[in-house]
Amino acid sequence: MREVVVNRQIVPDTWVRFSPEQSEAGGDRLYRLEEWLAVRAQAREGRVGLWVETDQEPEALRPYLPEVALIAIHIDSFTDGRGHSLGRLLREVYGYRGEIRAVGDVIQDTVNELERCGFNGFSPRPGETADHLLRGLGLFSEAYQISVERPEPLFRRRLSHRSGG
Amino acid sequence: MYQYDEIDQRLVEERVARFRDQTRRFLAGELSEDDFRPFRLQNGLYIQRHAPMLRVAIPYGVLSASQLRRLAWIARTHDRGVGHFTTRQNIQYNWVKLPEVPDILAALAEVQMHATQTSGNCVRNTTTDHFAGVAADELVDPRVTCELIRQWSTGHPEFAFLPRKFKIAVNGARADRAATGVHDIGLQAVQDAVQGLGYRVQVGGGLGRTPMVGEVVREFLPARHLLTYLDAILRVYNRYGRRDNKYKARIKILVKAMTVERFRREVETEWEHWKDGPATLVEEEVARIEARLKKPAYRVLPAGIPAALAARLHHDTDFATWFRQNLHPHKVPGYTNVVLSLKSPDQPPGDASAAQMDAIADWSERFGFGEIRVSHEQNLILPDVALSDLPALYDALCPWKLATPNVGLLTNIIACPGGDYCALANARSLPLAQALQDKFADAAWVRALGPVDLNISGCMNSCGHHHVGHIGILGVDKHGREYYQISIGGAQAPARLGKVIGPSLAPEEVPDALQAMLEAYLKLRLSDAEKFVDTVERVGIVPFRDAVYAPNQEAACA
Repeated sequence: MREVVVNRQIVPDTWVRFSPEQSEAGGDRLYRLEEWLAVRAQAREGRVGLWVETDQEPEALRPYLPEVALIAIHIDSFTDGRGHSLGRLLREVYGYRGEIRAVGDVIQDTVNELERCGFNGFSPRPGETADHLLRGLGLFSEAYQISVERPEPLFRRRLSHRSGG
Repeated sequence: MYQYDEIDQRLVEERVARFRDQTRRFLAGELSEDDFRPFRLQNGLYIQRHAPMLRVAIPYGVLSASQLRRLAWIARTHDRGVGHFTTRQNIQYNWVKLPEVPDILAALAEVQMHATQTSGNCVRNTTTDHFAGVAADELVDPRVTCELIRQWSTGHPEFAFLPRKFKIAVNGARADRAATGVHDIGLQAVQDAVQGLGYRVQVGGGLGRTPMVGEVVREFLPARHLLTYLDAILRVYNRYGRRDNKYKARIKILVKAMTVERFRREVETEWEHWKDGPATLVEEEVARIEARLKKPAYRVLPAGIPAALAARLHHDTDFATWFRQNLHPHKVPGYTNVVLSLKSPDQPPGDASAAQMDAIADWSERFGFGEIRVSHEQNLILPDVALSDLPALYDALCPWKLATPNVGLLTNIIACPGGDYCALANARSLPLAQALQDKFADAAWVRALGPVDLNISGCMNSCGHHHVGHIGILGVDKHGREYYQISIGGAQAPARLGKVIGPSLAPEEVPDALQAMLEAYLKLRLSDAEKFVDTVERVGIVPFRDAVYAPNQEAACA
């Protein structure tokens, strides 16, 4: 089974893209939003995930966030930074607590920033390995900005260090 | 300059370690050329015509003596003994070797410098008034704002892959010396009687292929909201800026397509998420940064011209010319700011040798408080020089060809490196700049013209800011030959874009064309108080077009 990184652990990838031709036999399925809306009423076993593109408006996902265990954001090219904003919006504005996974063009050199934007799952692109992705995480001991990873800016930590003695 | 604390230092070192690993993997064939490209660009490294080019950030154009010495050392050790100061207050090295770049970055980190985000589709080095903190007409010192933005933008995780590059300029004086109207975001500090310090926020200015003056998105942004409001603007741009066409990817295109009203609403909606949140600035942080900006211990000096200086001015006309041309008023009585022109007649604009840099670093300590500024006009500045020291400083500058009295004049040519170095250029800038220096070698005639900003760009990317030159020259490719398009009437502030006067010219025609226009100006001006650009504004471009093209038409008719 393919390996992915979730919460800084290498784990087998249990998620399979939904296909209308295949019979539903349970297991973790990834749906596009319209696919999910078409089959949502039917009872099924296994977890539900949504597959979205980087230009997805998060507002359209809002009603379904409580029922999905994973949102896979498909990054077609790693130089497309829209997924970074989408990750932060889902975490910080929409309060989504499930897994946000980067899929597509995901390499060792991009996961550090994605993680800071709220991604906790990373699926390596073909030729890249989960092991490499792990090495790309947590490269910096501090950060100036607020982000999902650090909701307060560095200047507030500097302040509390000083006032705390 | 802002002095790092241990956290700033650690972050810059961790950045070097990351790039060292990326370079190693690239050289080992583990990271492909395509994958490596965005990461080397975000660390200032371009692949150019002859060799890689490294662009080092000089945050808001402020350097310490030890930093300038380190830049000289890099020029000597890793380049061919020269550095090129750019229109964005940075320095470029044109002959570095890729495997050595991690070591250069490590050497920079030792003096609290970096090349972070000097290229790539991210927030670039913030620029400001080169007289920040020392100008007589200053409302607020913009360096604190600039440092806040430097820290906010450095390694910002959400904005690492924007649709295109993003440039922010800050101005704190009455005169806008930061060209805020032609930046992606331009911040003009405003002191409000009730609300205190704030900024007028302009968005969507820029040069390049589609030059535009920015629109005011907010008339007054209280200073404490600076970072949250920037986050909101950048998020709207990151999400909705065009990514299908790099020529339509700058924020100016988005603002125009959305209209400024809708863009403003989108930003305000996004801002609601952040406003008054943890990234809202606190006074203690502003005070902390202020304390870390080294403030000179000025002496109490008598105002007015000291006797020895007056005597020198009286008997040495060259000195007097330099004194009139290359100084800028200081806010502290008895001090002045001295512009060291990097535009001597036989020097590529903005270039300084390692030896010159070392000498300048020494003078900054001997005649000032160990600080040097870089101007977007590609000159260096010694701020904080006591008026009584001017004769000694002038005598020191002359043998180094750093006292050319042409600041603000035609021969203070602003030029990108052009086709000699840059892989993007359509035409060369430097031979043309040299030809113009040769043509306009009569310094007295040039002085009689009064202020003229002459800007040369080797291509539409407009690194030479030709759109906002009083005279702008753009290199174009015409059937594989270099040609130059001339525009006039541009201005940096208030930002105004020049108009093209006619068909582009062959390189050998350009000096005569400029001469013809300038002679026309001398005839047209109402008095010598009317600047070239004001005459263009008053009479339009037609008389100048006729001055350049009419002789050829006559020849064709004859």
